[in-house]
Amino acid sequence: MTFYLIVLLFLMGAWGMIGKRNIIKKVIGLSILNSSVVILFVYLGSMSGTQAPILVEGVRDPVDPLPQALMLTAIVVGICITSLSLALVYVIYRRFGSLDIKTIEKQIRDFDE
Amino acid sequence: MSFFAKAARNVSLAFILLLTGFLLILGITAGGTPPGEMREYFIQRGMIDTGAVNLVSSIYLGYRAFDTFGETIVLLLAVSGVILLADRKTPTISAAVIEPKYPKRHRTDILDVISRKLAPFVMLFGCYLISHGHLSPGGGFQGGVVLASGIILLTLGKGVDKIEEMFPLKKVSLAEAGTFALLLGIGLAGMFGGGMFFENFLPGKSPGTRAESPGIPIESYVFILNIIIGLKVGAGISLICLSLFKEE
Repeated sequence: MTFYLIVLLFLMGAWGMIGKRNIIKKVIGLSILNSSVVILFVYLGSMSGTQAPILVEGVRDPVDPLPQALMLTAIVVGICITSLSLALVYVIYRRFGSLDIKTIEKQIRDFDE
Repeated sequence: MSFFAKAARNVSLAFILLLTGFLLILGITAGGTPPGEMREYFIQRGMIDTGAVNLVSSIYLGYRAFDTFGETIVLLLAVSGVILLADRKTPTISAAVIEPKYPKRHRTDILDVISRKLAPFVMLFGCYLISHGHLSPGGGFQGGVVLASGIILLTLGKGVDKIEEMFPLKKVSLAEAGTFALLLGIGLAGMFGGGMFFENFLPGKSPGTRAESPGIPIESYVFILNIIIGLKVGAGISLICLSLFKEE
């Protein structure tokens, strides 16, 4: 069941990236897609045990810490991608005065002709 | 766009998404159980090798510190890219006339008071997360982001100009670059200490013998790295947000 929800989240992100015309919504879709991958890995890792991987007194069955450590990397890279693409969106908005991808493409075509 | 073109576009979009979802579900559920050898190893050796109670910290600052170093390079690049792109002085090819759609933002006393009263505690919590990263949930990255969120909260309440007086962009950039150089220096110190890049060069010992024998506890390496990475991430995220928030 959780797998289907995670795939649904992934598809929502992909839909935001492909189907939406506003480029800020595309960036949000990218962010959602990134979160779904993170959730998938943490969920897969959480099935290997029952307790948090912090070895204090009384912890008998900790989960695998490796997926969590790897997802830390993925989260940081996701933040970097989101911030850089938002800055790019800002530059595009200053250049074209619009956030609509159709308008931007039309302006580029007109500029080429 | 005509009705048929729109319908065709929606149908093809739905087809692509359904196909992707089908393939993803096939791929995820066909994998079986993930291998668990590394889990056994980390549970048995993680605390002895790095001294960190928090196994996630022991991986990303102990076993995979080189990976974390690359991650900080990614963050540094993102920060410099955002600063370059968000700079108003960078010339654009044709300056489209952008009239502000919204009037100057409204500031209420509620936002002002809450952000000023709450932000110190948020930053204190960030410092706690950084300094206890090897003992409890948290660590450099998480604590750094919480630190930066305190600064962002202040910015939302008071505006960028006031915050720039408190945290001048030059000094925050210096902190970002300086902590990166420090991290590189620690990695190289491991090499000169006779080991690998990012090997623990402190004259450490196993956690069990902490009370009796002299020397630096082994977990202080993870502690130092946590503090440096916390400062670096805090400075980086605040730089990104401050340069995006900045008005003309």
